[in-house]
Amino acid sequence: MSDYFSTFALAAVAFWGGGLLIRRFHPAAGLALYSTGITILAAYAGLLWWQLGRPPMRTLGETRLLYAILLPAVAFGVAMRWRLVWPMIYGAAMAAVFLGINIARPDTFDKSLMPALQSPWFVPHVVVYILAYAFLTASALGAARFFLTGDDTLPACDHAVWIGLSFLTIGLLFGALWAKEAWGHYWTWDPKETWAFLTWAIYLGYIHIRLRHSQARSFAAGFLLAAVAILGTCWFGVNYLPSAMTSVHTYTQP
Amino acid sequence: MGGTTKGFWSGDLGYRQAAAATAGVVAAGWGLQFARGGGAIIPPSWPSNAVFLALFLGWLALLSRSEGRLVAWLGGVPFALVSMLVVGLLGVAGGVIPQAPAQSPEWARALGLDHVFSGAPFAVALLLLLTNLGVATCRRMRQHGPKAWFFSLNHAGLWIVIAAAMFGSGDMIRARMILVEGQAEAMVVDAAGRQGYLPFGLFLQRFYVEQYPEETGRPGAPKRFAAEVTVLRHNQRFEDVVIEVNKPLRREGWTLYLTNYDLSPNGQTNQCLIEAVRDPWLPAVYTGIFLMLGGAVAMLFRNPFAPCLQP
Repeated sequence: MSDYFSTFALAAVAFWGGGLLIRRFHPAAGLALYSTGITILAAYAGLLWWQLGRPPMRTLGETRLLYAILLPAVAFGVAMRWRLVWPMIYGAAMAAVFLGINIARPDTFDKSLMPALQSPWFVPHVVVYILAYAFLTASALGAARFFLTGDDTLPACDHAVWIGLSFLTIGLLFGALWAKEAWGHYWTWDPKETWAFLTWAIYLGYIHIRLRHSQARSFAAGFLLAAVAILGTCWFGVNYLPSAMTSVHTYTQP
Repeated sequence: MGGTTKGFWSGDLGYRQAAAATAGVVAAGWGLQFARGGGAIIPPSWPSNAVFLALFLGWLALLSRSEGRLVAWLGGVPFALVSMLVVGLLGVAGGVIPQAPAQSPEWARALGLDHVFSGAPFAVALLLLLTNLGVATCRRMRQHGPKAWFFSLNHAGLWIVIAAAMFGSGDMIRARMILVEGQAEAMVVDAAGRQGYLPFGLFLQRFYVEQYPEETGRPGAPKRFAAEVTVLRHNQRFEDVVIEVNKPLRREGWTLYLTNYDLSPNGQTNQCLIEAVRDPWLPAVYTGIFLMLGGAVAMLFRNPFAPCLQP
Protein backbone atom coordinates (compact mmCIF):
# COMPACT_ATOMS: atom_id res chain seq x y z
CA MET A 1 0.00 0.00 0.00
CA SER A 2 2.83 2.40 0.83
CA ASP A 3 4.09 1.93 -2.75
CA TYR A 4 1.16 4.00 -3.97
CA PHE A 5 1.54 6.68 -1.33
CA SER A 6 3.35 9.20 -3.58
CA THR A 7 0.64 8.92 -6.21
CA PHE A 8 -2.17 9.58 -3.74
CA ALA A 9 -0.23 12.35 -1.99
CA LEU A 10 0.64 14.18 -5.22
CA ALA A 11 -2.94 13.84 -6.45
CA ALA A 12 -4.25 15.34 -3.21
CA VAL A 13 -1.79 18.26 -3.32
CA ALA A 14 -2.70 18.88 -6.98
CA PHE A 15 -6.41 18.98 -6.11
CA TRP A 16 -5.79 21.38 -3.21
CA GLY A 17 -3.68 23.69 -5.35
CA GLY A 18 -6.13 23.53 -8.23
CA GLY A 19 -9.07 24.14 -5.91
CA LEU A 20 -7.43 27.19 -4.34
CA LEU A 21 -6.63 28.63 -7.78
CA ILE A 22 -10.04 27.96 -9.35
CA ARG A 23 -11.80 29.24 -6.23
CA ARG A 24 -10.94 32.80 -7.36
CA PHE A 25 -13.05 32.41 -10.52
CA HIS A 26 -15.60 29.83 -9.45
CA PRO A 27 -15.88 29.44 -5.65
CA ALA A 28 -18.11 26.34 -5.63
CA ALA A 29 -15.91 24.43 -8.08
CA GLY A 30 -12.81 25.41 -6.09
CA LEU A 31 -14.30 24.12 -2.84
CA ALA A 32 -15.36 20.90 -4.57
CA LEU A 33 -11.82 20.30 -5.87
CA TYR A 34 -10.31 21.12 -2.47
CA SER A 35 -12.56 18.62 -0.70
CA THR A 36 -11.83 16.00 -3.39
CA GLY A 37 -8.15 16.28 -2.42
CA ILE A 38 -9.09 15.51 1.20
CA THR A 39 -11.27 12.59 0.07
CA ILE A 40 -8.41 11.07 -1.96
CA LEU A 41 -6.13 11.00 1.09
CA ALA A 42 -8.94 9.73 3.33
CA ALA A 43 -9.53 6.91 0.82
CA TYR A 44 -5.82 6.05 0.98
CA ALA A 45 -5.99 5.96 4.81
CA GLY A 46 -9.07 3.74 4.58
CA LEU A 47 -7.29 1.30 2.25
CA LEU A 48 -4.23 1.35 4.53
CA TRP A 49 -6.45 0.58 7.51
CA TRP A 50 -8.00 -2.34 5.61
CA GLN A 51 -4.56 -3.62 4.59
CA LEU A 52 -2.98 -3.27 8.05
CA GLY A 53 -6.01 -4.58 9.91
CA ARG A 54 -5.70 -1.75 12.46
CA PRO A 55 -6.33 2.01 12.45
CA PRO A 56 -3.39 3.83 10.83
CA MET A 57 -2.63 5.95 13.90
CA ARG A 58 0.35 4.23 15.42
CA THR A 59 3.50 5.24 13.58
CA LEU A 60 5.06 8.63 12.91
CA GLY A 61 4.36 8.35 9.19
CA GLU A 62 0.75 7.36 9.80
CA THR A 63 0.32 10.27 12.19
CA ARG A 64 1.64 12.68 9.56
CA LEU A 65 -0.78 11.18 7.05
CA LEU A 66 -3.56 11.82 9.55
CA TYR A 67 -2.51 15.48 10.01
CA ALA A 68 -2.45 15.82 6.25
CA ILE A 69 -6.08 14.69 6.10
CA LEU A 70 -7.36 16.48 9.19
CA LEU A 71 -5.64 19.85 8.75
CA PRO A 72 -7.16 20.66 5.37
CA ALA A 73 -10.46 19.10 6.50
CA VAL A 74 -10.68 21.26 9.61
CA ALA A 75 -9.32 24.27 7.74
CA PHE A 76 -12.14 23.69 5.24
CA GLY A 77 -14.68 23.68 8.10
CA VAL A 78 -13.11 26.73 9.73
CA ALA A 79 -13.05 28.52 6.38
CA MET A 80 -16.76 27.82 5.95
CA ARG A 81 -17.62 28.79 9.51
CA TRP A 82 -15.74 32.12 9.59
CA ARG A 83 -15.67 32.80 5.84
CA LEU A 84 -11.91 32.98 5.71
CA VAL A 85 -9.71 31.73 2.88
CA TRP A 86 -6.28 31.70 4.46
CA PRO A 87 -6.88 28.65 6.74
CA MET A 88 -7.43 26.57 3.60
CA ILE A 89 -4.16 27.77 2.07
CA TYR A 90 -2.37 27.28 5.36
CA GLY A 91 -3.91 23.83 5.92
CA ALA A 92 -2.99 22.65 2.42
CA ALA A 93 0.56 23.99 2.75
CA MET A 94 1.13 22.32 6.14
CA ALA A 95 -0.39 19.08 4.86
CA ALA A 96 1.85 19.20 1.77
CA VAL A 97 4.87 19.54 4.07
CA PHE A 98 3.79 16.51 6.11
CA LEU A 99 3.18 14.49 2.95
CA GLY A 100 6.55 15.60 1.59
CA ILE A 101 8.31 14.36 4.74
CA ASN A 102 6.56 11.01 4.34
CA ILE A 103 7.67 10.75 0.70
CA ALA A 104 11.23 11.74 1.55
CA ARG A 105 11.43 9.40 4.55
CA PRO A 106 9.40 6.29 3.67
CA ASP A 107 10.97 4.43 6.61
CA THR A 108 8.99 6.60 9.03
CA PHE A 109 5.87 4.74 7.95
CA ASP A 110 7.20 1.83 9.96
CA LYS A 111 8.75 3.90 12.71
CA SER A 112 6.42 3.20 15.55
CA LEU A 113 5.41 5.38 18.44
CA MET A 114 6.61 4.69 21.95
CA PRO A 115 3.98 3.07 24.20
CA ALA A 116 3.12 6.32 26.04
CA LEU A 117 2.06 7.91 22.76
CA GLN A 118 -0.23 5.03 21.79
CA SER A 119 -3.42 6.48 23.18
CA PRO A 120 -6.84 7.60 21.94
CA TRP A 121 -5.87 11.07 23.22
CA PHE A 122 -3.03 11.36 20.73
CA VAL A 123 -5.04 12.42 17.70
CA PRO A 124 -7.43 14.95 19.31
CA HIS A 125 -4.63 16.50 21.39
CA VAL A 126 -2.30 16.92 18.43
CA VAL A 127 -4.93 18.01 15.93
CA VAL A 128 -6.31 20.69 18.25
CA TYR A 129 -2.77 21.89 18.98
CA ILE A 130 -1.85 22.06 15.29
CA LEU A 131 -4.99 24.14 14.71
CA ALA A 132 -4.12 26.46 17.59
CA TYR A 133 -0.58 26.87 16.28
CA ALA A 134 -1.92 27.56 12.80
CA PHE A 135 -4.08 30.43 14.04
CA LEU A 136 -1.49 31.81 16.46
CA THR A 137 1.39 31.79 13.97
CA ALA A 138 -0.96 33.46 11.49
CA SER A 139 -1.45 36.25 14.04
CA ALA A 140 2.34 36.69 14.17
CA LEU A 141 2.43 36.99 10.37
CA GLY A 142 -0.24 39.68 10.69
CA ALA A 143 1.84 41.49 13.30
CA ALA A 144 4.92 41.36 11.07
CA ARG A 145 2.84 42.82 8.24
CA PHE A 146 1.66 45.59 10.58
CA PHE A 147 5.28 46.66 11.07
CA LEU A 148 6.40 46.11 7.47
CA THR A 149 3.55 47.72 5.56
CA GLY A 150 1.72 49.75 8.19
CA ASP A 151 -1.54 47.97 7.25
CA ASP A 152 -4.10 47.74 10.04
CA THR A 153 -3.88 43.98 10.47
CA LEU A 154 -4.65 44.03 14.19
CA PRO A 155 -8.40 43.24 13.90
CA ALA A 156 -7.52 40.11 11.92
CA CYS A 157 -4.78 39.25 14.45
CA ASP A 158 -7.22 39.64 17.35
CA HIS A 159 -9.68 37.37 15.60
CA ALA A 160 -7.01 34.72 14.93
CA VAL A 161 -5.67 34.87 18.51
CA TRP A 162 -9.15 34.49 19.96
CA ILE A 163 -9.84 31.34 17.91
CA GLY A 164 -6.28 30.08 18.42
CA LEU A 165 -6.51 30.57 22.18
CA SER A 166 -9.75 28.56 22.36
CA PHE A 167 -8.07 25.67 20.54
CA LEU A 168 -4.92 26.10 22.63
CA THR A 169 -6.97 25.86 25.84
CA ILE A 170 -8.71 22.71 24.60
CA GLY A 171 -5.38 21.17 23.52
CA LEU A 172 -3.70 22.03 26.82
CA LEU A 173 -6.53 20.51 28.86
CA PHE A 174 -6.68 17.40 26.63
CA GLY A 175 -2.96 17.10 27.27
CA ALA A 176 -3.53 17.27 31.04
CA LEU A 177 -6.26 14.61 30.89
CA TRP A 178 -4.02 12.39 28.76
CA ALA A 179 -1.01 12.90 31.03
CA LYS A 180 -3.12 11.64 33.95
CA GLU A 181 -3.78 8.43 32.01
CA ALA A 182 -0.24 7.94 30.74
CA TRP A 183 2.05 9.30 33.45
CA GLY A 184 -0.09 9.39 36.59
CA HIS A 185 -0.39 13.14 37.02
CA TYR A 186 -2.15 15.84 35.02
CA TRP A 187 0.60 18.40 35.47
CA THR A 188 4.24 17.91 36.49
CA TRP A 189 5.94 21.14 35.25
CA ASP A 190 8.00 19.14 32.81
CA PRO A 191 9.83 21.64 30.52
CA LYS A 192 7.46 20.94 27.62
CA GLU A 193 4.47 21.48 29.91
CA THR A 194 5.99 24.64 31.38
CA TRP A 195 6.44 26.15 27.91
CA ALA A 196 2.95 25.04 26.92
CA PHE A 197 1.66 26.91 29.98
CA LEU A 198 3.76 29.99 29.13
CA THR A 199 2.45 29.97 25.56
CA TRP A 200 -1.11 29.76 26.82
CA ALA A 201 -0.50 32.50 29.42
CA ILE A 202 1.04 34.97 26.97
CA TYR A 203 -1.88 34.73 24.53
CA LEU A 204 -4.27 35.00 27.47
CA GLY A 205 -2.38 38.17 28.41
CA TYR A 206 -2.71 39.44 24.83
CA ILE A 207 -6.50 39.03 24.89
CA HIS A 208 -6.75 40.94 28.18
CA ILE A 209 -4.47 43.71 26.91
CA ARG A 210 -6.49 44.07 23.71
CA LEU A 211 -9.83 44.13 25.52
CA ARG A 212 -8.55 46.78 27.95
CA HIS A 213 -6.12 48.88 25.89
CA SER A 214 -7.36 48.68 22.30
CA GLN A 215 -5.45 51.84 21.32
CA ALA A 216 -1.92 50.56 22.02
CA ARG A 217 -1.45 49.12 18.53
CA SER A 218 2.33 48.94 18.13
CA PHE A 219 2.63 47.47 21.60
CA ALA A 220 0.07 44.80 20.72
CA ALA A 221 1.83 43.90 17.46
CA GLY A 222 5.20 43.72 19.23
CA PHE A 223 3.60 41.60 21.93
CA LEU A 224 2.43 39.12 19.29
CA LEU A 225 5.98 38.76 17.93
CA ALA A 226 7.27 38.07 21.47
CA ALA A 227 4.41 35.61 21.96
CA VAL A 228 5.27 33.61 18.85
CA ALA A 229 8.86 33.31 20.12
CA ILE A 230 7.46 31.61 23.24
CA LEU A 231 5.26 29.43 21.04
CA GLY A 232 8.27 28.45 18.93
CA THR A 233 10.23 27.60 22.06
CA CYS A 234 7.40 25.31 23.15
CA TRP A 235 6.95 23.70 19.74
CA PHE A 236 10.58 22.85 18.90
CA GLY A 237 12.96 25.06 20.89
CA VAL A 238 12.46 23.29 24.21
CA ASN A 239 14.65 20.36 23.11
CA TYR A 240 17.65 22.71 22.95
CA LEU A 241 17.24 24.30 26.40
CA PRO A 242 19.30 23.24 29.41
CA SER A 243 16.08 22.08 31.07
CA ALA A 244 15.40 19.52 28.31
CA MET A 245 17.64 16.95 29.97
CA THR A 246 14.92 16.38 32.57
CA SER A 247 12.02 16.18 30.08
CA VAL A 248 9.96 13.12 29.25
CA HIS A 249 8.52 14.81 26.15
CA THR A 250 11.61 15.01 23.90
CA TYR A 251 10.44 12.35 21.47
CA THR A 252 12.86 13.37 18.75
CA GLN A 253 15.91 12.10 20.60
CA PRO A 254 16.93 8.51 19.82
CA MET B 1 8.94 60.12 51.29
CA GLY B 2 5.95 59.28 53.49
CA GLY B 3 3.87 61.80 51.54
CA THR B 4 4.86 60.22 48.23
CA THR B 5 3.87 56.77 49.47
CA LYS B 6 0.49 58.08 50.57
CA GLY B 7 0.00 59.71 47.20
CA PHE B 8 1.05 56.50 45.46
CA TRP B 9 -1.75 54.53 47.10
CA SER B 10 -4.39 57.23 47.42
CA GLY B 11 -4.50 58.19 43.72
CA ASP B 12 -5.66 56.01 40.84
CA LEU B 13 -4.76 52.39 41.45
CA GLY B 14 -3.30 50.71 38.40
CA TYR B 15 -0.29 48.90 37.01
CA ARG B 16 2.36 50.59 39.18
CA GLN B 17 0.51 49.78 42.40
CA ALA B 18 -0.10 46.21 41.22
CA ALA B 19 3.61 45.87 40.39
CA ALA B 20 4.62 47.25 43.79
CA ALA B 21 2.21 44.99 45.69
CA THR B 22 3.15 41.88 43.69
CA ALA B 23 6.88 42.57 43.96
CA GLY B 24 6.51 43.03 47.73
CA VAL B 25 4.58 39.81 48.23
CA VAL B 26 6.87 37.73 46.02
CA ALA B 27 9.96 39.22 47.72
CA ALA B 28 8.42 38.18 51.05
CA GLY B 29 7.97 34.71 49.56
CA TRP B 30 11.66 34.67 48.67
CA GLY B 31 12.57 35.88 52.16
CA LEU B 32 10.52 33.04 53.60
CA GLN B 33 12.31 30.60 51.33
CA PHE B 34 15.73 31.84 52.47
CA ALA B 35 14.68 31.86 56.12
CA ARG B 36 13.62 28.22 55.83
CA GLY B 37 16.95 27.25 54.33
CA GLY B 38 15.80 26.96 50.75
CA GLY B 39 13.88 23.69 50.33
CA ALA B 40 10.50 23.03 48.80
CA ILE B 41 7.43 24.21 50.68
CA ILE B 42 5.47 21.47 52.40
CA PRO B 43 1.84 21.85 51.35
CA PRO B 44 -0.75 21.40 54.13
CA SER B 45 -2.70 18.15 54.10
CA TRP B 46 -6.25 17.15 55.08
CA PRO B 47 -8.04 18.64 56.94
CA SER B 48 -6.02 21.84 57.31
CA ASN B 49 -5.78 22.39 53.55
CA ALA B 50 -9.59 22.23 53.31
CA VAL B 51 -9.89 24.72 56.21
CA PHE B 52 -7.41 27.11 54.55
CA LEU B 53 -9.21 26.82 51.24
CA ALA B 54 -12.62 27.45 52.86
CA LEU B 55 -11.24 30.50 54.71
CA PHE B 56 -9.62 31.81 51.51
CA LEU B 57 -12.83 31.34 49.53
CA GLY B 58 -14.91 32.96 52.30
CA TRP B 59 -12.52 35.93 52.42
CA LEU B 60 -12.71 36.34 48.63
CA ALA B 61 -16.52 36.17 48.67
CA LEU B 62 -16.73 38.74 51.47
CA LEU B 63 -14.12 40.98 49.90
CA SER B 64 -15.79 40.95 46.52
CA ARG B 65 -19.04 42.32 48.01
CA SER B 66 -17.29 45.60 48.63
CA GLU B 67 -17.75 48.27 45.98
CA GLY B 68 -14.57 50.08 47.08
CA ARG B 69 -11.81 51.10 44.70
CA LEU B 70 -9.24 48.88 46.44
CA VAL B 71 -11.28 45.73 45.74
CA ALA B 72 -12.01 46.84 42.19
CA TRP B 73 -8.24 47.19 41.70
CA LEU B 74 -7.54 43.82 43.35
CA GLY B 75 -9.93 42.10 40.92
CA GLY B 76 -9.03 44.23 37.92
CA VAL B 77 -7.17 43.70 34.66
CA PRO B 78 -3.93 45.53 35.69
CA PHE B 79 -3.56 43.31 38.73
CA ALA B 80 -4.36 40.23 36.61
CA LEU B 81 -1.72 41.10 34.02
CA VAL B 82 0.96 41.92 36.59
CA SER B 83 0.40 38.75 38.62
CA MET B 84 0.35 36.70 35.40
CA LEU B 85 3.60 38.36 34.37
CA VAL B 86 5.24 37.39 37.67
CA VAL B 87 3.95 33.80 37.44
CA GLY B 88 5.18 33.81 33.83
CA LEU B 89 8.66 35.12 34.67
CA LEU B 90 9.08 32.48 37.35
CA GLY B 91 7.76 29.98 34.80
CA VAL B 92 10.41 31.04 32.26
CA ALA B 93 13.10 30.51 34.92
CA GLY B 94 11.67 27.08 35.63
CA GLY B 95 11.38 26.33 31.91
CA VAL B 96 15.01 27.16 31.14
CA ILE B 97 16.90 26.05 34.25
CA PRO B 98 16.94 22.27 34.78
CA GLN B 99 14.55 21.53 37.62
CA ALA B 100 16.90 19.17 39.43
CA PRO B 101 19.54 20.30 41.95
CA ALA B 102 22.21 18.04 40.49
CA GLN B 103 21.90 19.53 37.00
CA SER B 104 21.33 23.23 37.71
CA PRO B 105 24.09 25.82 38.22
CA GLU B 106 25.25 27.04 41.62
CA TRP B 107 23.62 30.49 41.39
CA ALA B 108 20.27 28.92 40.46
CA ARG B 109 20.44 26.61 43.46
CA ALA B 110 21.26 29.58 45.72
CA LEU B 111 18.12 31.40 44.52
CA GLY B 112 15.96 28.31 44.75
CA LEU B 113 15.49 28.38 40.96
CA ASP B 114 16.31 24.68 40.72
CA HIS B 115 12.84 23.97 42.14
CA VAL B 116 10.78 26.98 41.03
CA PHE B 117 7.42 25.21 41.04
CA SER B 118 7.66 23.86 44.57
CA GLY B 119 9.17 27.05 46.01
CA ALA B 120 7.57 29.75 48.14
CA PRO B 121 7.87 32.64 45.60
CA PHE B 122 5.88 30.72 42.99
CA ALA B 123 3.29 29.66 45.57
CA VAL B 124 2.66 33.24 46.76
CA ALA B 125 2.57 34.49 43.16
CA LEU B 126 -0.11 31.89 42.40
CA LEU B 127 -2.02 32.93 45.55
CA LEU B 128 -1.99 36.53 44.31
CA LEU B 129 -3.27 35.38 40.92
CA LEU B 130 -5.98 33.33 42.68
CA THR B 131 -6.96 36.38 44.75
CA ASN B 132 -7.31 38.51 41.63
CA LEU B 133 -9.13 35.80 39.69
CA GLY B 134 -11.39 35.00 42.65
CA VAL B 135 -12.43 38.61 43.25
CA ALA B 136 -13.00 39.17 39.53
CA THR B 137 -15.10 36.00 39.22
CA CYS B 138 -17.20 36.67 42.35
CA ARG B 139 -17.91 40.21 41.21
CA ARG B 140 -18.92 39.06 37.75
CA MET B 141 -21.04 36.15 39.00
CA ARG B 142 -23.37 38.59 40.70
CA GLN B 143 -24.28 39.93 37.28
CA HIS B 144 -26.60 38.07 34.96
CA GLY B 145 -26.86 37.25 31.31
CA PRO B 146 -24.84 35.18 28.83
CA LYS B 147 -21.78 37.43 29.05
CA ALA B 148 -21.46 36.89 32.81
CA TRP B 149 -21.98 33.15 32.34
CA PHE B 150 -19.32 32.97 29.70
CA PHE B 151 -16.89 34.95 31.85
CA SER B 152 -17.60 32.73 34.88
CA LEU B 153 -17.17 29.48 32.98
CA ASN B 154 -13.60 30.36 32.00
CA HIS B 155 -12.53 32.27 35.09
CA ALA B 156 -14.18 30.10 37.75
CA GLY B 157 -12.90 27.02 35.89
CA LEU B 158 -9.33 28.28 36.01
CA TRP B 159 -9.71 29.28 39.66
CA ILE B 160 -10.96 25.82 40.59
CA VAL B 161 -8.15 24.08 38.66
CA ILE B 162 -5.38 26.13 40.30
CA ALA B 163 -6.92 26.11 43.79
CA ALA B 164 -7.73 22.39 43.81
CA ALA B 165 -4.32 21.46 42.38
CA MET B 166 -2.50 23.72 44.86
CA PHE B 167 -4.45 23.05 48.04
CA GLY B 168 -4.94 19.38 47.16
CA SER B 169 -1.26 18.70 46.48
CA GLY B 170 -0.68 17.94 50.16
CA ASP B 171 -3.07 14.99 50.00
CA MET B 172 -1.62 13.52 46.88
CA ILE B 173 0.44 10.37 47.23
CA ARG B 174 2.72 9.27 44.41
CA ALA B 175 4.60 6.17 45.42
CA ARG B 176 6.33 3.34 43.64
CA MET B 177 6.18 -0.38 43.98
CA ILE B 178 8.32 -3.03 42.36
CA LEU B 179 6.54 -6.16 41.20
CA VAL B 180 8.53 -9.35 40.69
CA GLU B 181 7.09 -12.27 38.74
CA GLY B 182 5.71 -14.94 41.04
CA GLN B 183 5.65 -12.67 44.10
CA ALA B 184 2.92 -10.70 45.90
CA GLU B 185 3.41 -7.12 47.01
CA ALA B 186 1.35 -4.45 48.79
CA MET B 187 4.05 -2.07 50.01
CA VAL B 188 4.70 1.25 48.29
CA VAL B 189 7.54 3.73 48.83
CA ASP B 190 7.27 7.46 48.06
CA ALA B 191 10.00 9.79 46.77
CA ALA B 192 11.05 10.67 50.33
CA GLY B 193 11.52 6.97 51.15
CA ARG B 194 8.40 6.67 53.34
CA GLN B 195 6.69 3.29 53.24
CA GLY B 196 3.00 2.54 53.17
CA TYR B 197 0.58 -0.20 52.17
CA LEU B 198 -2.13 -0.42 49.57
CA PRO B 199 -5.51 -1.70 50.82
CA PHE B 200 -4.96 -4.72 48.53
CA GLY B 201 -2.06 -6.80 47.28
CA LEU B 202 -0.79 -7.42 43.77
CA PHE B 203 0.61 -10.70 42.53
CA LEU B 204 2.57 -10.45 39.29
CA GLN B 205 1.70 -13.45 37.11
CA ARG B 206 3.68 -12.40 34.07
CA PHE B 207 5.42 -9.34 32.70
CA TYR B 208 6.25 -9.07 29.05
CA VAL B 209 7.77 -6.63 26.61
CA GLU B 210 7.01 -6.67 22.92
CA GLN B 211 9.84 -5.15 20.92
CA TYR B 212 9.84 -3.76 17.43
CA PRO B 213 11.22 -6.34 15.01
CA GLU B 214 14.54 -5.87 13.22
CA GLU B 215 13.13 -4.66 9.91
CA THR B 216 11.36 -1.63 11.44
CA GLY B 217 12.76 1.82 12.06
CA ARG B 218 13.58 1.23 15.70
CA PRO B 219 14.56 -2.41 16.23
CA GLY B 220 14.57 -3.43 19.85
CA ALA B 221 12.64 -0.37 21.03
CA PRO B 222 9.72 -1.31 23.26
CA LYS B 223 6.46 -1.47 21.35
CA ARG B 224 4.22 -2.49 24.19
CA PHE B 225 4.76 -3.68 27.72
CA ALA B 226 2.19 -5.15 30.00
CA ALA B 227 1.88 -6.71 33.45
CA GLU B 228 -0.60 -9.50 34.10
CA VAL B 229 -1.44 -9.21 37.79
CA THR B 230 -3.88 -10.70 40.25
CA VAL B 231 -5.49 -8.33 42.75
CA LEU B 232 -5.57 -9.92 46.21
CA ARG B 233 -8.08 -8.89 48.86
CA HIS B 234 -9.12 -10.33 52.21
CA ASN B 235 -11.77 -13.03 51.84
CA GLN B 236 -12.49 -12.09 48.26
CA ARG B 237 -12.25 -13.75 44.92
CA PHE B 238 -8.96 -13.20 43.04
CA GLU B 239 -9.21 -10.73 40.22
CA ASP B 240 -6.97 -11.02 37.14
CA VAL B 241 -6.16 -7.77 35.36
CA VAL B 242 -3.64 -6.41 32.85
CA ILE B 243 -1.84 -3.10 33.48
CA GLU B 244 -0.34 -1.33 30.48
CA VAL B 245 1.03 2.07 29.62
CA ASN B 246 -1.97 4.36 29.05
CA LYS B 247 -4.19 1.70 30.64
CA PRO B 248 -3.83 2.14 34.41
CA LEU B 249 -5.69 0.08 37.02
CA ARG B 250 -8.14 1.92 39.28
CA ARG B 251 -9.09 0.29 42.58
CA GLU B 252 -10.28 1.72 45.92
CA GLY B 253 -9.09 5.29 45.38
CA TRP B 254 -5.71 4.23 44.02
CA THR B 255 -4.60 4.34 40.42
CA LEU B 256 -1.73 2.09 39.42
CA TYR B 257 0.38 2.97 36.39
CA LEU B 258 2.90 0.76 34.69
CA THR B 259 5.85 3.13 34.35
CA ASN B 260 9.03 1.20 33.73
CA TYR B 261 10.83 -2.09 33.82
CA ASP B 262 14.33 -3.37 34.21
CA LEU B 263 15.56 -5.11 31.10
CA SER B 264 18.40 -7.53 31.58
CA PRO B 265 21.07 -7.86 28.83
CA ASN B 266 19.37 -10.90 27.26
CA GLY B 267 16.21 -8.86 26.72
CA GLN B 268 14.22 -10.72 29.33
CA THR B 269 12.75 -9.23 32.45
CA ASN B 270 10.71 -10.56 35.30
CA GLN B 271 9.99 -7.36 37.16
CA CYS B 272 8.36 -4.00 36.55
CA LEU B 273 7.85 -0.67 38.23
CA ILE B 274 4.38 0.48 39.20
CA GLU B 275 3.50 4.01 40.20
CA ALA B 276 0.67 4.08 42.75
CA VAL B 277 -1.18 7.40 42.86
CA ARG B 278 -3.84 8.60 45.25
CA ASP B 279 -5.27 12.03 44.53
CA PRO B 280 -8.54 12.68 46.40
CA TRP B 281 -8.82 16.20 44.94
CA LEU B 282 -8.82 14.97 41.35
CA PRO B 283 -12.63 15.31 40.92
CA ALA B 284 -12.35 18.98 41.91
CA VAL B 285 -9.53 19.55 39.42
CA TYR B 286 -11.52 17.78 36.71
CA THR B 287 -14.57 19.93 37.51
CA GLY B 288 -12.44 22.99 36.80
CA ILE B 289 -10.98 21.42 33.67
CA PHE B 290 -14.44 20.64 32.27
CA LEU B 291 -15.70 24.15 33.07
CA MET B 292 -12.69 25.53 31.18
CA LEU B 293 -13.31 23.14 28.28
CA GLY B 294 -16.90 24.38 28.13
CA GLY B 295 -15.61 27.95 28.26
CA ALA B 296 -13.10 27.29 25.47
CA VAL B 297 -15.78 25.80 23.22
CA ALA B 298 -18.04 28.76 24.03
CA MET B 299 -15.16 31.05 23.05
CA LEU B 300 -15.36 29.71 19.51
CA PHE B 301 -18.92 30.98 19.25
CA ARG B 302 -18.59 34.25 21.16
CA ASN B 303 -15.81 36.17 19.52
CA PRO B 304 -15.76 39.81 20.63
CA PHE B 305 -13.29 40.57 17.85
CA ALA B 306 -15.31 38.91 15.08
CA PRO B 307 -17.48 41.93 14.06
CA CYS B 308 -14.37 43.76 12.84
CA LEU B 309 -13.68 41.07 10.30
CA GLN B 310 -16.93 40.39 8.50
CA PRO B 311 -16.15 40.24 4.77
